[in-house]
Amino acid sequence: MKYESVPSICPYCGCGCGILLQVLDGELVGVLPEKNHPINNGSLCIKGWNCYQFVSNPDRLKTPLMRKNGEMEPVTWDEALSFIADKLGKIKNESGPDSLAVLASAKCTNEENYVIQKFTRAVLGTNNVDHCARLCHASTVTGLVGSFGSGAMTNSVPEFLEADCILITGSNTIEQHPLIGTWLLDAKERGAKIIVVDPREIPIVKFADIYLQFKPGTDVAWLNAFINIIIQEGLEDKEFIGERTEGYEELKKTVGKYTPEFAEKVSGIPKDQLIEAAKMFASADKGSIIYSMGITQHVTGVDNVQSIANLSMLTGNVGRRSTGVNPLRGQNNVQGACDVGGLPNVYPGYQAVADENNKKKFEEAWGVTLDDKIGLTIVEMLNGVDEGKIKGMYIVGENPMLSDPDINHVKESLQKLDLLVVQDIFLSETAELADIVLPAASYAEKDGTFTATDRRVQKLTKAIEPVGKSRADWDIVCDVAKRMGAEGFDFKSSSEIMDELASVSPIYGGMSFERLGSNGGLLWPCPDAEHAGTEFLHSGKFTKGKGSFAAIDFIEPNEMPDDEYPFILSTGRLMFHYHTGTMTRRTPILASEVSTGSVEINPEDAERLSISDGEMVKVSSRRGEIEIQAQVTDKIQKGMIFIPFHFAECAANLLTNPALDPKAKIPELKVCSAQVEKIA
Amino acid sequence: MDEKLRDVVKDLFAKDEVDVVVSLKLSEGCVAPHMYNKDEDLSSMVSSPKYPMGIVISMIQEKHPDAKIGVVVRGCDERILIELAKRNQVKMDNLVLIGIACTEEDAEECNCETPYPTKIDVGERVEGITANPDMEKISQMDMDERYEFWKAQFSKCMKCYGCVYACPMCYCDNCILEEDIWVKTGELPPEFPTFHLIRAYHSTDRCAECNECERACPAHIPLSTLYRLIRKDVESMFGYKTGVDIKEKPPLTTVLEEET
Repeated sequence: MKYESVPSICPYCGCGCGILLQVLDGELVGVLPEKNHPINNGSLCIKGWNCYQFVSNPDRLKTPLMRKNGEMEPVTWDEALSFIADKLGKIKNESGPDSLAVLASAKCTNEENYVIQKFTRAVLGTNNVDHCARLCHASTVTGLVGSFGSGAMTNSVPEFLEADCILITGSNTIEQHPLIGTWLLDAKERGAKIIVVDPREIPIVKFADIYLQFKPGTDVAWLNAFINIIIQEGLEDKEFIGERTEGYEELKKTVGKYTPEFAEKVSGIPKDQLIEAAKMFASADKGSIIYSMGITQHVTGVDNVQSIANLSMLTGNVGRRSTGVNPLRGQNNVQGACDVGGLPNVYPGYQAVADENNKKKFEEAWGVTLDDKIGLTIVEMLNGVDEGKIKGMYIVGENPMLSDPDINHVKESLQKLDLLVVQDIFLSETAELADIVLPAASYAEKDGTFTATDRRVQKLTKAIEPVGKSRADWDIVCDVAKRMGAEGFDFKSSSEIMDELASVSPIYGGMSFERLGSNGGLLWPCPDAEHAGTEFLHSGKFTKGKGSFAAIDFIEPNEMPDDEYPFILSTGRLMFHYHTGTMTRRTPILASEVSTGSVEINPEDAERLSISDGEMVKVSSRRGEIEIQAQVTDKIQKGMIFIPFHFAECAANLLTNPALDPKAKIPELKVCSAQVEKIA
Repeated sequence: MDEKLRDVVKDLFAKDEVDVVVSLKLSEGCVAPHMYNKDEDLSSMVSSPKYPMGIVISMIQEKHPDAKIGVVVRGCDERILIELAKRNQVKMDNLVLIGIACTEEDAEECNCETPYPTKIDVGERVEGITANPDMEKISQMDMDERYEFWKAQFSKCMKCYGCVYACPMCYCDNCILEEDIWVKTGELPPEFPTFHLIRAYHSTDRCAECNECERACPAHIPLSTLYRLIRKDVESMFGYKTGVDIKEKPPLTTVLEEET
C-alpha cells in the first residue's frame, strides 16, 4: 500500500499551475492543486483538475508501429529505431542534411527539446527545426526582439495584481489562461481599470471598464490612432522616451496620420470610446498590456506586436513592476521550446545560428561541425516537401494535420515524404500518416522542466511508470542519435541534460534541478547559481540597450471578404478543449461539456441566411469546406464568424489561409474570407 | 507544533497501532498529502497548509478497506470523516485520528466556529469565530439585493468544478451538475442560478465548513458563506448538527415513516 502526491506542472496552457499528482499503488488516480503555488495558489481550471485522465486512456500508444504493406504493425523498439537511424542516414547521404526536417514540441520538456534540436543540428546537420510556436507567437519572438531585444513576456504573472490599468487585446484570457484570469479579477477588485479590445465579446469583457469591439485585422490602425491620441493629449512619458528609446520622431510622424476618425472608419471603434480608452491607459501609473494570438496570427503579426511595444514604451510602461508587454503563451512549454533552441534561427538561449561566434561556441560544446544557414520554418518545410527539397520529417508531439493552416495541403505534403516519423502519446491525425510511430511517455511518466509564459522554469517529477512500452521523448531521440553513431547523447537523466543546457545557455545558466525545487521554480534570465531569477525584464536598460520605436503603417489582411466569400473567419480555442483535442477529447467531462465544434454567427447574419441555432451549415473558403453546427450568438459581430480548431470532424484549418507574415513566417489564422450556407 | 506531531506519530508506530499514517509532507518547498510508513523518515512531516484529508482517506480506503490508517485531522477533517462514515464512504473503525488544533490565524482564515477536533493531540485549542460579518451583511439584505449579490458573484464562475472536486463530501460517481438537462453544458459562466443552487442544496446536511471549495475557487466566490447560511437553516429546522454524532442521521438522506 503506497500513496503519494507527486508535484508536477499542468500539461495544458502556459499559466504553469502547480499540481499534485495523486498516486495510489503506482496508479495515477487524481490531481490536487498545489496550495501556496505562486500562480494558481490552490485553484485550477477544469482542464487542470482533469489532466490525469488522458494518461491512462486505453488509446495510449504502447508499442512502436511500422507501416508494412500499407498497414501499421507493432514492432520492437530495436527494429523501429534501427530502421529510422538507417533511413535518416541514407536520406542525409543521398539528398543532403537540408532534406531533413524536425518538429520539436511545445508539449515536451525543456530537456527533450534541447536534445531534439541538438540531434537535428549536430547529428542530422541541419537547422531545419521548428515547432508550433511558429503558429502562435513567432511574431512575438521576432517583434519584441526588434523592439526590446528579448522576445518574452516582460513581467511575471503575479504582478498583474498591482497594475493600475490592464489593456487586453487579442487574448481570451479567462477561457485560454483561466488562472491568469484569476489575477485579473483580483486586480479589478483592487481597483485596476480594465480595457478590452477584441472582435468578440469574450468572458473578460464582462469585467471591463471599457470594451472596444473592432474588425479583425485592423490592429495597427487602432493602435496607431491610440498612440496618436496619447501624443495629442500630451500624455506620453517624455522622460522615458528621451532616455530609454530611439526612433520616436519617426513614430510620431507616422501615427500622426491615424486620426480617431480614420480608426473608426477602418476598425469600427467609435472614436470617442477610443479617446477615452487611450486617456485611461496613458493616465495610469502602472499600465500593463496583455495580448495573445489575436495580435500575432496575422500577416502583419510582427507589425501588430511592435505597435503594442510602441504603446508600452510611449507610456513608460516597460522595466517596472506590474507594467509591461505581456504576450500570454499558449502551451505548457512553448516558451521553453523556444528558449532551448527549437527554432531554425537560434541555438539554445536565443543565440543566432548565423553568428560565427555562436557557431564556434556550439561546435566546441558539441564536438561537431555545424551549419550557419538558418533553417526552414513549419510552413516552409511543408512547401519544401512539395518542391522536392524535404524528403524526411521527424515530428515529435505535434499534430500539424489539425493545427496548421490549409490541412488539405498539409496532408498532400506529408504523404509525399520518403520518411515520416511521428513520436506521440496518441495516434494523432498526423501519426496516422506516418511510416513509423513511436510511443512516448506522458508528462506524468518522466522528469523534466516546463517554462511557463512568464519565463518561469518549473520542475515536473515522474509519478508513474511509462504506459506500455512507451519511453520518454529525450530517451528515444538520444537512442536514435547513438544509433546514427553520434556522441554526446549519453544522458542518464533529464537533470544531466539540464546541466548541459545551463552550461551553453546563459539565460538558464544558474538553473539546476536541485535549485528549481517544486514551488514556483525560477524565472529566467538566471545567469548563475547565486542569481535569484528575474521577475521583470528591461529594468533600467533594455536587453538591446535602447528600446526601438517602429513606425508602422496599416496594411489590410491577406484575404478580405468579397461577394463570393463575404464573411471574415477567425479561429481559436474554447475553455473546455485544448488544441487538437488529443488529450481533452479523451477526458470524459470535457468531451461532455463540448462534444464537437460549432460556428459562431451573429443573429442578423443568421436570420438573413435563414439559419437557426444548432442547425448544420456548410462553411467554405478558397481552400476547403466543412459541415458544422451553427451557434447563433450576439457575442460575435456582424460579418464575422468564429470556429474553434479542436475538432477533426469540422476542422477550421481546412479553411484557413496559409499566407505568412514576411518576417516571422506565422500564418494568418485569425483572418480569412469564408462563406456560410444552408445545407438543406 | 510539527515536532510534537512527529512525536505523536512515532509513538503510534512504536505501539503498532497503525500500519501507516496519512499526513502532510514538505519536499522541495511543496507541501502535499502523503502516506508515511513505519520505516520512513518523519522529519519531512508538517501540519500546514491544510489539505482535504477526507478525499485522500476515502480514496485509499476504497482500495484498502482493512488497513489500519492513522490520519492527521483538524476539526473540519474529523467532521467530514464522520459525515462520510454516515454515508458509507469511509470506515471509522479502521482509522486512528491524530487531532490537531488550528491556530487562531487558521480559524480566522476559515471563519471557523469549531477549529479543533474532539481529541487534541497537537496544538492548543483556540475558541471559534462566532461573529461572521459576511453572513450578517447578506442576512440584512432584502431578497432582491441578495439575488443581485449572488448573481454578480456567480457571474465570475469559470465552471472549473473546483468546488465539487475540492469538496470531500462530493463523492458521487456521476455529478448531476454535468448533466445538460440541469445545467446547459459548454457555457461560460454556467447557468445562473441552477449550477450553484443545486450544489448548495446538495451540501445542506453534509457541508462541514472546511472551506476547501472557497479556497479552490479561482473566482473567489464566497461559497462557504452561502453554505453556512443554509447550514444554519438546516440546524434550526431539523436540529441537525453536521459532523458531530456519527449515529445522528442526516435529514436529507433519511426517509421518515410518514413520507413513504
